[in-house]
Amino acid sequence: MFVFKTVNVLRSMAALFQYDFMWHALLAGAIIALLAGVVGFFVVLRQQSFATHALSHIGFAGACAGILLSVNPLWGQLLLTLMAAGLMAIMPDKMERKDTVIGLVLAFALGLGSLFLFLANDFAGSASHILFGDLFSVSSASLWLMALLSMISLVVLAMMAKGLWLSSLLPEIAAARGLALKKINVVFFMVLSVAITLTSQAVGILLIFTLLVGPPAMALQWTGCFWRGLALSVALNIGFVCLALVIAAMSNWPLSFCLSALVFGSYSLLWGFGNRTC
Amino acid sequence: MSLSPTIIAEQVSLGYGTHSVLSDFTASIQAGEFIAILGPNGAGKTTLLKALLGLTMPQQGELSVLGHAPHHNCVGVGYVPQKMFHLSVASISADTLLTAALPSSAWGFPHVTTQQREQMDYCLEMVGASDFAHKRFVTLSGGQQRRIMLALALLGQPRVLLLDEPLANLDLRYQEAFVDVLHTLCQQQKITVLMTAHDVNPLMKAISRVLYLANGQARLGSVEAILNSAVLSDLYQTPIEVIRYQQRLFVLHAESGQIDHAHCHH
Repeated sequence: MFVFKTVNVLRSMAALFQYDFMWHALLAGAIIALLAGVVGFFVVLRQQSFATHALSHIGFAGACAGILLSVNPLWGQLLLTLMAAGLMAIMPDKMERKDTVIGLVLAFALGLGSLFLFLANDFAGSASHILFGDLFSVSSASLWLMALLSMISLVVLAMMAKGLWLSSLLPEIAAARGLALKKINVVFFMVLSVAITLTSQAVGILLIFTLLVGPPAMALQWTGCFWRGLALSVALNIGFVCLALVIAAMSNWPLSFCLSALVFGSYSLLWGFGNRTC
Repeated sequence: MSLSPTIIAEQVSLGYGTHSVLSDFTASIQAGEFIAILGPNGAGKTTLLKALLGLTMPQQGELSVLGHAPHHNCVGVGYVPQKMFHLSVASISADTLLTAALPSSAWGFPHVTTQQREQMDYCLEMVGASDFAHKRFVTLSGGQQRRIMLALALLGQPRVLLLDEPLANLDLRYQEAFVDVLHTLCQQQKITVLMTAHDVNPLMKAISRVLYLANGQARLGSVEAILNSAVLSDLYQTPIEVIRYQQRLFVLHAESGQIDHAHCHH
């Protein structure tokens, strides 16, 4: 009986891969997971989770503006996120009421987004796509765009990896060496904007932490070495996305639930095992 | 000493905008000297270190480190910052911190050559940190963390070491051990050490001279020549009494009789 069931499950799993949408989703998911794994590794090290959270929410207004103006929401979101990221990156570290300012801008952006959707007469459908993502409806055009954007981001990161690594771990030493911390931060925020925009295509702006914070944090819990940490972060991300996609397609449950449950569950398990050093 | 001085300051004034921190500072420091920079909070100890690192420019006068005006990215100068970073988010080992800090350009991927690996091991050995370098940095004791930071500063084989309050929050025995390491570096490798401190007593046997900063003024000289009632009263422009008790120095406000904890030598 059990064997019979297993065979059935495997058969329906294999059937999934006959569909183009499944392959598109897997490819897009892998591209996003790769970029989010690399960028998230630095987000966790640099403790910029709040900035990441804020930027994704600010992007909501941009995506909604895109729908109102009948252009690809991805462009609207990317543009607004990049602008907000530029401003946020040059804010002084010790700026008074910085958190409050960012929080209020974030709230206003969400409000603005709801206005745009209301004006576009398309509230429920689009809102849920932007908020929770929709990896199963990725077109081949979007797939190419995602691949291109993520390639550019990875090249930029690769070029400044050493400076970014040092300034993330030892900002005081980096400053004493004359590293341009501000410039590094601005460039990183630009890359972060791309990563946030792409990640939200998969899991929505509400759940970007499932890829940009969760698995990278797990990787860093496990090892503090640069290459091992980075590789583990990317591997975890790709593994989680692929697994979640298969589960979501077979169960018909939302991908955002499957992915967030997998990440949350794994993080809790790792917490139980405690920490290790490399 | 026939060598030219490692650090020369000629009528240097330091400050931020219109706010002057230190004025008309002239000094000459030789290779292998161990200088304790003392003085109350805000007297310009950290500012002076920043100027020597080339992070702030003197408003007046000229400063020279190893024969050049101070400039950042100078491998001849090692620096141990006062603030300890918070790395609790990650299991970053002390080893990994060292590899991140290897002197190189900011471009490209982090990469460690065999030669750099040997250099790292050598630096860890010098400060007696080989045994715990593989551990997570945040799990190390305060004294162990300072040693790792010192090894990190030694990576570029510096001729000058600048340390900002490396003894803060350390137990006495750790203070002693840390000063011993610095003392050895000074004597064996002729590295010039400048360190800021609040208490001169743990440094007594290691230092060659004291640089005392207060009220925008600086006095450089031997412990006996600087840490006495006449000189400190003149610097603070208030009666100060220096008491020597069993080879330890205590600085007291003569009028109140209180040990001034803001800049005490207890």
